[in-house]
Amino acid sequence: MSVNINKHIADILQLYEFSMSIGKTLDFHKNCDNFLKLLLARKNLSGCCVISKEGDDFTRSYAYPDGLVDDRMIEHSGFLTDCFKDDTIKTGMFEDNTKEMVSSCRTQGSWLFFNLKNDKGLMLMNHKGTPFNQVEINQLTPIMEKFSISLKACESFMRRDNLLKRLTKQNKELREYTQVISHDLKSPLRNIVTLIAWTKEDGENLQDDVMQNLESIEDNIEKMDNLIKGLHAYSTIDKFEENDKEIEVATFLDGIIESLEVPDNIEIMVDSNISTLSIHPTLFQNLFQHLISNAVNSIDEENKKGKISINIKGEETQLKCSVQDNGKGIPEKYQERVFELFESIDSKKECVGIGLPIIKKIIDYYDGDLLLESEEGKGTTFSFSLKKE
Amino acid sequence: MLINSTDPHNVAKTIKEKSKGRNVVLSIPDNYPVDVEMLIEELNKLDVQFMGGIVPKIIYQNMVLDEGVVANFLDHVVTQFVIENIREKDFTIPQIPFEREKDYCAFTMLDGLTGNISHYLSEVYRVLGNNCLYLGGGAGSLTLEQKPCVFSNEGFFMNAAITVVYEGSGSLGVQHGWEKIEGPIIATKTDKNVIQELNWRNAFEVYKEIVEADSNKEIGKENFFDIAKSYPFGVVKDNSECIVRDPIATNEKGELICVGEVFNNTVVDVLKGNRCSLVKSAEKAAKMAIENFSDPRSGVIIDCISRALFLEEEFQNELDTVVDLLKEQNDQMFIGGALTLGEISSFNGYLELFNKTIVVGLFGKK
Repeated sequence: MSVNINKHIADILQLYEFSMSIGKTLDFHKNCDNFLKLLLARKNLSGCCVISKEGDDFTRSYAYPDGLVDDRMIEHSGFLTDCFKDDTIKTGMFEDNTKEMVSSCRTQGSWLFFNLKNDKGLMLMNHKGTPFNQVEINQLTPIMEKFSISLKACESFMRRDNLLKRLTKQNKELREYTQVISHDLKSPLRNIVTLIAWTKEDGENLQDDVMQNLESIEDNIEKMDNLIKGLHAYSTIDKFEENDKEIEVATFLDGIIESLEVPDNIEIMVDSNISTLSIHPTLFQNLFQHLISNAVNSIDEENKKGKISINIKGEETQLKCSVQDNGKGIPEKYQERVFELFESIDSKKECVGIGLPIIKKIIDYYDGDLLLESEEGKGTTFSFSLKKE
Repeated sequence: MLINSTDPHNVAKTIKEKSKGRNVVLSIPDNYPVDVEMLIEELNKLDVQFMGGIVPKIIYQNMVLDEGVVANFLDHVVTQFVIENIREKDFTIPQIPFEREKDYCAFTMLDGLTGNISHYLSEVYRVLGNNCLYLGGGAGSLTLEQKPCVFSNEGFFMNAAITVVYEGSGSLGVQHGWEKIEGPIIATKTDKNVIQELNWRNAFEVYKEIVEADSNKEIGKENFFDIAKSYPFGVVKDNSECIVRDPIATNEKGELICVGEVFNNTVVDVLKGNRCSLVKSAEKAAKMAIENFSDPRSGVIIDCISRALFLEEEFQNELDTVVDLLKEQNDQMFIGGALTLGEISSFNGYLELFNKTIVVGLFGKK
């Protein structure tokens, strides 16, 4: 028996050509197009279809030409159920029962079915009627295994992509929702504050207890306002569209300290080994504003020598910071709970139980670590690290 | 029919008289001095539905002509559509409601010098599927200067394709007769119709080695076309003749510019023709078409202009051989056609663009 070397080389190179056309893209349709159109052209076939099995139903995932088969082929599941029955490759000539599967096109000729696993199958059609021979089936089998894996990758990518799109949409909706809620809740609060102010102005002769009640209402309104601001800040921490910016650390911290009402008896010291830092300015501001504010609130106003030490140390891959105070400290039993929303150990109107959860969320956002060390009557130290991107 | 007038009014009037309400496909030689814009206007005035192309030469019966207008009339046209800017890949082929019991044919004339022709054909096949028998060719000038070359009631276009779909039966025979001298080799880097690398090396270097070894002639940029016209590439296929791709030029980078796309990693052979095998292949194409169609009423021959250039005087022999065989089936048969820049057919099932190939189509009632 003579061996036609050239024919063998051509067959092998054809496998190379098929193989190189698979997996060039993670788009399911384009991946099918790249490989299957080439397969049809080289093998002189007239059509193909990727069929998905969903329970007892079958749907068309890809077809070339488009009208080769109906989108849904439920009624004809007998033929397709047999095709999907096991992993064996099936082939045959179109007969009356199989012709019905094809919607608009002619169905004379032969068909070949590969079970691609993962409930997918590939039907190849040759309308000229030549049966598929065993050698070409054998030649195509390993290629189909590769094609099957590439389809699985496309589907995984498609699912991930869809999930990402859905998440982006939900995040956008949540951001809008938070903004609306924040705005809608604040508006009646402002009205109440105005009404109270008018009442106080108009009613000079109001009884002391009524005046006291009005002031109490004002305090509660301020507390609620802080709560709304805090909730808004908390819910938007990881949804900012702003980019990192270069900031001057000392100037930036001075600005934060100035914006807070720090009693005269409290001294704030800043020690930093870096002068500039590339970071998300709003998050950095939120982080230190809440930490310093928390420290200020923990120091009893009558304490004559309140001390807050801020330490910032820039390292190659991370930023290490700490905020230490000599306030009243956090009792051990509360130390784990203080990072949960609305868990406040202080009844002051500024303390609504949202500052520390914001701090934790920002540190988590930067994939950092947070450590709380506190001793009752001696003070508290919050140490944390932020990973540099 | 063949119309020998250059007066657009007379040409249009003759077509109107003969058309009897039918659509018409017109082939006009590139050098024929008829004003196509005027002809379109005249035909539109007479309410004739038409499409056509400017081709290097026309075929009428067994004659190859540089003068005249060949008109093929079509009954029962389902639709005709023009797709502009096929180079851009951004177009939609209209859906057609085919009836299972009927046979359909689709005839396409497109700008043979535009890009992405294979993509256009694959999109046509995606939508129309194997409901149709496909036939057609690439229009344009042999000077290879791109200009408007296809026309219909909607205007005169370049970078465009016009397809007419009509009810009718037919059969095709497609052959080229070029034979392998070297291969298989892989087109490892390509860009549309440009082959940049063969077997991971500069394409021209590899091609030059093969061609010079066979021809004993030195091939360079200047004489590239003269020598390369005898050494086309063949895209390897299973159980049928390969698809010929014609290299027509090379550039400073040593890339080979072909008529029609060659995709990355395509396995090709280098082919060589001899006059005898080419004429024999034309005979085979005619026999293939006849074999599947017993009572043809008309015949269409789409033959590549480069075959005519290669065969020179022998080309008449090729045409006579084909026409004689067709006339044996029906001596009253009208035979028209064109020498084109690329040939279109679905002979092997899948719709493809061919080069250096003869496509013989027979049409009528089954």
